[in-house]
Amino acid sequence: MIAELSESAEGQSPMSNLWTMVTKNHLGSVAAVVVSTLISHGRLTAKDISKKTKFPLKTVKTSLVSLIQLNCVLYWQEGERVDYTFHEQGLLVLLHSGQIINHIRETYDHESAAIIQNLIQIGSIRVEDLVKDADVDTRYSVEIKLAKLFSDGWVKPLQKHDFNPIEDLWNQIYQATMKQLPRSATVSEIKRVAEAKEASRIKLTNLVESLPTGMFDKRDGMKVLKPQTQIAFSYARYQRHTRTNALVSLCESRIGPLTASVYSTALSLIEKSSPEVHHFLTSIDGMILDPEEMVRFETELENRLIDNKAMVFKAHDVVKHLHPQLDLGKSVLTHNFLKPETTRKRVVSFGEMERKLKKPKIKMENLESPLEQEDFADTVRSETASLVNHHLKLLSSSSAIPFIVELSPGTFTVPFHKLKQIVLEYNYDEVMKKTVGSDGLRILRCIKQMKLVDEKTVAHSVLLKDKLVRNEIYKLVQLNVIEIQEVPRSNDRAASKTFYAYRYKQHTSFNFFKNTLVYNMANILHLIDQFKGEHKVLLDKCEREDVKGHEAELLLDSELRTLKGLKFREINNMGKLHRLLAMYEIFSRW
Amino acid sequence: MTSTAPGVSQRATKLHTHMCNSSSDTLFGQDEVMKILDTSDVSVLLEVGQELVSNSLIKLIRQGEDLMFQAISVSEANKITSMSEDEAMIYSYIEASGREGIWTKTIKAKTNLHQHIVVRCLKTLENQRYIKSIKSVKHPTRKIYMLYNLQPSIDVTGGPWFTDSELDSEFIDNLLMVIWRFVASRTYPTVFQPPAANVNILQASYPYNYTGYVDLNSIMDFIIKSEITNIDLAIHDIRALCDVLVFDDRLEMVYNTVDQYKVTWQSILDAGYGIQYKEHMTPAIESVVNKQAFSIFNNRGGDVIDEEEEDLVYFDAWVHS
Repeated sequence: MIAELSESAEGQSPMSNLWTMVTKNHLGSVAAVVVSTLISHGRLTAKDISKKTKFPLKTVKTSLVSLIQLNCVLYWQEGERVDYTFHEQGLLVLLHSGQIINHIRETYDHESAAIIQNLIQIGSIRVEDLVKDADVDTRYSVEIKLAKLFSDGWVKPLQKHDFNPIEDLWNQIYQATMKQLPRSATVSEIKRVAEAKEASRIKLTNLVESLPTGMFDKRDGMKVLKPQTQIAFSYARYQRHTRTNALVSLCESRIGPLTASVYSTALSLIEKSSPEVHHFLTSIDGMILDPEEMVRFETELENRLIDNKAMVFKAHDVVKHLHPQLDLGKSVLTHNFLKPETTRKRVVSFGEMERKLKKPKIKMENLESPLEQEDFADTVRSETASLVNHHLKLLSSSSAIPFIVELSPGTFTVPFHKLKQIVLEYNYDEVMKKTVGSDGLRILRCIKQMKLVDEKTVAHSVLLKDKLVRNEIYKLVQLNVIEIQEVPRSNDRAASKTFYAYRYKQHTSFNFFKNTLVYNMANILHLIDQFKGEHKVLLDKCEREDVKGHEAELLLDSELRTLKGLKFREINNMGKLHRLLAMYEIFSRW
Repeated sequence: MTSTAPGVSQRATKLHTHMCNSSSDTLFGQDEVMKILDTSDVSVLLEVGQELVSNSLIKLIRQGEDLMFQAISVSEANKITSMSEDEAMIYSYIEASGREGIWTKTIKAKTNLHQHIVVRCLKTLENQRYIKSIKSVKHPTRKIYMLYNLQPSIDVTGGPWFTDSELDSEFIDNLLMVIWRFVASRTYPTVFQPPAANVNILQASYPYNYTGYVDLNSIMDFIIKSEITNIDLAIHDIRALCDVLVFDDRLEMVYNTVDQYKVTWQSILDAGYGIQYKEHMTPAIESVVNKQAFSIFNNRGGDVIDEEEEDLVYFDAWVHS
């Protein structure tokens, strides 16, 4: 079926532009039209979609099945009526798929990456279907890997409510709870609503967070998933990983690569059990009304995890899990470091310690006692522990950024909700530095600090020429980074007497920036689509069964050159797309 | 000490000489003047005073209810007596404006003279080098005059950041760089040195409880000692420079201190330091630095890929779509 995407799919919003392009690339143009229709109308039945898209109902339903399977569309059934809603998470998984698979391959192995790839491709699958064609050994290996991925949170059991919009679930539970709380003369309506809200919140949390019972089997002493368990990839787990990346990158730019490496190890210890990047309750309209309540909610969530020791790590755990090749030696300067080498107390590097450890081992076989070797190993361990401790202290108290918080001596946690805001600000400033230059950044940070300020005061504070300041401010206004505030000085608001002040509004700027990123991502996908379309004949030729694998023999030199050029362009553009995606991942948390 | 103008009586000369011996801005009351004249007769004071005023050798100034006398040097008096009446009036207003100077429009309003006359008088006075035209930083388009021998005030010149009423960007940039280098050398002392065996090539930081970071006074001392500039800088000027460096994200306040600064690691990287490990890459270093995903902080331009024009994406594409 030939389906044409309407211009409104591109024009209605940058989001629509991107999501329809991603859907078109992965699921075809029919699905893209369905997605575009759902984005523009919000919530529709299959019949409505069919009417609006002018596709036969059967085609729409087929398309919806694959979209629901990949978590791009959610449904809600009330009696006979089934409503469908667009859900961007599935498309985000598809956009990130390459990075997800790559990360799993690097952290685990190829087999684990293949499992995740299957899950992303199919959406959800039963364990038995995943292993049915494998021989006994492979089956055993896959089950073990799957159990590991499951325990690390990358794989989750699929539950019925995963296909339902969270707002509908909330509404259903809330209405049921309200019915159970009858009106009475003694209890005010406000209290009744508050009680119902709290009870519904607990019920919904239990529903979403509870795991189905009897999912595991024990085989040869190993815990494995039961064959009939339906599993899916957990995007929430990947979001936690991207948050770790963002924090480590910030740490590397503020403190240094070695401290960042220690931080990365520390974060990986608690990544699995850290709070979700987007808690499902925060996406329900009216659940959290003001920013203060949001902070309270996030703090409570973190405190609960800290109390359960889920989000707490100890310095010696970090030492144990450090990268084996990480050399922290001489990374912390002591007061006597500038003294000549001979008089200085030597700090042995971790790598050096390892080497030293190996050396005496050879000697020991002949001469030294095992007791001496043990002593030396203890010294090495305590030196490393001391260095790690130094780096952890740098993270907790060397700058205004609380990368970690020391709960008690040697025990730390990460204040994720505080860091969220800081990460956003530093990333935004860095983007601005790269976009408008260092003068622009200077002016922006000055306006940020002074809240509401006029051009002359800015020029005076940043020590730049008036003309330059005016130009830079114009650039910042053009990019919606700062806003203009008109300050009239006469009753008739005469333009000649009015002067203008500037201010920075984070919310507006971040939203604009997010849309800019999305628009550019969509543009890149269009571009790839376009240049592939321009060389469709050649690309189709390469796809032919008789040509595949024999391109060098069957294609002309010029065709091979064009093919190489196209591949190069595609790789370049995909690289750019993933950079934008990395930024979007940070700003989507806003 | 000056000789009094010819034709002035001895008593008047004595009083003028006495008054000139004090500093030029000293004001004398009626009693003091009578004491100098050694008389209690007011008519003598009136007579001598009138003589000196007629010869432009003293000025009468009202201070509250009292009338005060101020001496004018003979050379100054000669200057004024050689001027026309209009010129003298304009000159007196310019003189009164002191180091701040006076705008031509204000002169016109105060003297109530015609524009042409004011312009002509100002030209004459300027040609005789009695007054000079200055440029004000606050009002660059205004024509402001002040006495030839005076130095304009900081408000007019703009302080140490201005040279000839123009913001001296080069001077400021150089100072900023010097301060940044100084603070950097106290924050990451090994970063500007070639890799050495006694420090880790990837990172060498002071411990978390290090207290030797620089404050405004030490930056000031460094600038004075190193004789980088011959312009006098005050502590608030240094603070202004540090503020600019903070806006640039090149400096940051040391946590929990008032005016102690350290440089940001990002600024070290942006300046091209702290990356010496790239020339001494080992598998161990590679395992630490190359495992990161894309980060905007690591993106320092570097190699620009020769791209097709239509493949370029622009930050502001959405604005102009």
